Amino acid sequence: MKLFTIAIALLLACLAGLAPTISSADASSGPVMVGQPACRVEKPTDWGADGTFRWIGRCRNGLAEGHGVLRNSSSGEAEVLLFLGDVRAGRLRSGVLASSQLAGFSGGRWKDGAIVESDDELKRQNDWRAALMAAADAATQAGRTFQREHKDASATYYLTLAKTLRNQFD
Amino acid sequence: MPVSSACRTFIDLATQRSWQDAVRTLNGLNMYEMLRALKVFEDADRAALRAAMASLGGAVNGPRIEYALTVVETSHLPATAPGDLASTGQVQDARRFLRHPKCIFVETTPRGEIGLRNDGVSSSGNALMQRLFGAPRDAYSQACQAVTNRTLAARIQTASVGPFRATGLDSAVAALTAIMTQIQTRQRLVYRFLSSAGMLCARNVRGSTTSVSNHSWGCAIDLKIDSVLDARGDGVAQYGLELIAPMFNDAGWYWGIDFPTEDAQHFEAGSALVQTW
Repeated sequence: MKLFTIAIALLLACLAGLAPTISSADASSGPVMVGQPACRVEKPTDWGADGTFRWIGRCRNGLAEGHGVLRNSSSGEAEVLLFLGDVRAGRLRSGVLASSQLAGFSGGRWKDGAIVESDDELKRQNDWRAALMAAADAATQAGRTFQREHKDASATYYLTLAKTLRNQFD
Repeated sequence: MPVSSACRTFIDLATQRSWQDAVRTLNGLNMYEMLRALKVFEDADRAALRAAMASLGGAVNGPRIEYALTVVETSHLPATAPGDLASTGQVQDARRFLRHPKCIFVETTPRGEIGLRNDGVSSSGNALMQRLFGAPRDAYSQACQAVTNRTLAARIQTASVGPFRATGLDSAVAALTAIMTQIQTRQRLVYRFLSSAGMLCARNVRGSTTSVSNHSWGCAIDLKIDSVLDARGDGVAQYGLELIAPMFNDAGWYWGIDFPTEDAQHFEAGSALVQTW
């Protein structure tokens, strides 16, 4: 846990200066899209609209696409909120929420910015498992991106997080 | 972040509805813990807390507690903050809480700081489960699949166990229901934050083609607190899990915190218990 905390502290220090142009949440009805103007992504409904949002991953036609990480940070706040997982045309599909300040994850299949839990026990667990794997892939991809950019603290953080996510199941 | 002893005392007192003592203790919590502790209450608890505050008069910092109650109830910052809350960073603490308003039960405790665990209870391994109940399926994958062993399948049931529905072996579902009743009595504040991340799931252990998950027989369950699943293998356990684990142990269930890879979310019927089923 201490190593995890140290990694987070390093990450926060490292990332403090690298956020690109970002925007606050839209106030219109329907999905609330956030992130860089050239790469919008749906905001999880659990999150507030404050702070800055940044998508780390691929974009297509101005929308986030594929595995990636959505970060929500706020000036002067130590806690960074993360969505890690799979996004299609900017909409959240499968993945988990994590926090830099809290051990543990919530997640599964997503619809309209919220987690949808099946009544079927097996399906619910398989959705959860798929979400964890999508999140782990997203974290790995983010880690490798930061490795290429020689941002070692961030790379270490995301690669460690990927391992933790893969280890959620015995 | 480990939960302070003062906060633990407050939760214990509130669980017992010792409201006057709870209020006196609450006043000593920092704003971070106060907000997350107040988040565990339902309306009736908050009303009882306010009544106790009123009865104590000026003995506690009522405006500070009322500010925190308002933040929790409305999910907004009040327009004004009493006393020195702004200058001492407590308004900022409230703003932080609102970004991620989880209850105190998802905070964590290092495994080594948790007292008596799994005393006299041991894990039921694959070999024992196979001997008692047979193989749940002929073949497994990494995905959750249904039980195909007809004898075992006939004993699989889905039922409400209290705070959620679960699918598992009939005896395990009945035992889990009894445990949840105990939790409702002894840890009523945790009870309402409990949900299941899965009970029955016939599959291989991750990365293995020979070892079967203990969930395959429907005698184990993974629990979430406030919709958050404890991170496996990090050596810490959610405070809420810590509070309810004794009720599982008392009923002969093993807590996965003591697996070689810590798995605090996981509870399973212990070896002595499954042999009675």
